[in-house]
Amino acid sequence: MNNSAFDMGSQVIHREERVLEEFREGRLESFYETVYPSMLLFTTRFLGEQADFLAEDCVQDAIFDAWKRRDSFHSLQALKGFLYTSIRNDAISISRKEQARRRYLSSREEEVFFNTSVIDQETRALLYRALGELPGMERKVLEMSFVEGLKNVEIAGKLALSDSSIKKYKANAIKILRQKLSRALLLLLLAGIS
Amino acid sequence: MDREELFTVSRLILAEIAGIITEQQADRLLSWRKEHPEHEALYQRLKDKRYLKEGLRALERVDGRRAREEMYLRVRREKRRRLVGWIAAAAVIACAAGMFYFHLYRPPVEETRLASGIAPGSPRATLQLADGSIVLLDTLDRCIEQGGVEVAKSNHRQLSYLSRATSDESPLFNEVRVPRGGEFDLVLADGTRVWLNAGSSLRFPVNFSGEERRVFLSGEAYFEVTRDAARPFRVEIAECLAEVLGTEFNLSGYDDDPVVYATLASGSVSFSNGPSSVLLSPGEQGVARHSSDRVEKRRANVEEIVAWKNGMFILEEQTLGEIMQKIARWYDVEIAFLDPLLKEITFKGRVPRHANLDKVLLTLEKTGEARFSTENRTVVVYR
Repeated sequence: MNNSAFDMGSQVIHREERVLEEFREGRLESFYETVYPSMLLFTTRFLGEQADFLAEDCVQDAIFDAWKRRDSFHSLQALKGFLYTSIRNDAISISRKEQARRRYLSSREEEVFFNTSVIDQETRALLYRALGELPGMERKVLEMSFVEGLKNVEIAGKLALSDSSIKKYKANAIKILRQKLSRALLLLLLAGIS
Repeated sequence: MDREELFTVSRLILAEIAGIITEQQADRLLSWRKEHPEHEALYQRLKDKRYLKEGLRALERVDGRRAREEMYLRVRREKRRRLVGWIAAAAVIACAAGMFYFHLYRPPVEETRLASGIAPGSPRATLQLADGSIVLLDTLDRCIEQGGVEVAKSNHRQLSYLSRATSDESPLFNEVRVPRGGEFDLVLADGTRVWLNAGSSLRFPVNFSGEERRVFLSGEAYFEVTRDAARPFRVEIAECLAEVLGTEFNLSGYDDDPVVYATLASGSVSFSNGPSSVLLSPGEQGVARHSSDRVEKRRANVEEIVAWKNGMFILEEQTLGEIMQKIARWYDVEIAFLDPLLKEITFKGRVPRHANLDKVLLTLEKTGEARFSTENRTVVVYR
């Protein structure tokens, strides 16, 4: 039979703003669903292959530190920024212990490596979540197009649909994405960062 | 580059991938790309479909559930550690139970069909002393002395056994019985804490002498066992035995349930059913069926299983049949399914245990899968 989700406060799709709020209240479900995977992948990459078995402990320690000062975060980005930074500091000290310092030749390079790793992880997580919020067909079509790099004709062939309906799904998906993203970008513009 | 800038750049790149970037934003992205060769390299990587695809698959594969459970335990310990400094240890757990979840949900109660007004369970229990006399714990307001052990109520839902001296005499046994619709905690003479769920009973010596600490359970309880390497703590339940040195675990085996479950939160437990036994690690559950003398081991959601102790029902992929069985014990009601197939529907979600029955049923009804009506103390489930 079917699997229905009923809900008393925790939605299946967690909105960004609520993740921080719930984290601060000590409800960790949405945080571990949406933020944790990025942190773990980031850490694995940052630690390198020799030490990636330490990744989980490293992430958990950072999360626990963040939880202890949970009231000081005023946005989810601030929380993520804190996590990325503490993971980096931890990872560097682990690498130093293991004398694998080649990656951190100079502090400038270290900084660039950190920045690009964060952007890399955040971009993929953002795309993953954006795709996750699309309705079924729109998601499928967009994944095939963005991720697999297929052309409309190829997608139409694979899904046994007409070229024009693929175009329609794609346009609709882009419209939804634009709404979600432009809101995020607009907020940043208003914050005067742009 | 400050931290917020990093998040902005990732949004710009995504806008570019999705083809919805504005001219101004594109300029901004371009100037970032020119800042450092590594920036440009990252940009090119993210434009590579295969790289992107791999990244999405990697995200999909991460399962944070185990890490989440571990964090709940760390958080719980931390809260406890902080409180211990300035509140007596006895008061600590009473506060900790139920402080982790906050619920702002207030469903509108307008339908008269669901207006039974049935209240949830509350601390209610009886205590049978060694001499056979029965004390109602709700109204107990004095200390009871039995064989050098003092029994006192430390708050409205908790009983403590304080041993004055160790005696070698044969132990006196007490039994706490929690009726359906009740719950109660106790602290045994060795400091072990036991949370008893509705419809359960625990038989235990008022003082532990000899080489083991053995108690007898029927129903469901959560144990926080005080470490004592010299005297293992053993719980007998139906045909099963759980043996530990010092740990936290949940045991469930109601008489109307053909299965005994032992779920481990921390430490380690040896769980046996007749001749066979398994050693459990945190997050694992031992399952013993009355119909066999084997024990299976599987992974379990500890948070969900011990939710009752923290004042919540967490329903993770549970069938309506299982959910209604819990509700029956907690609200002390009977359940009637008009269509037995309804028992197989699975639900997800969480419900505070301190809500009225009507609120809980209304929440379940919102899924559109089943409807309920209450008559006296019977809940009828229909389509």
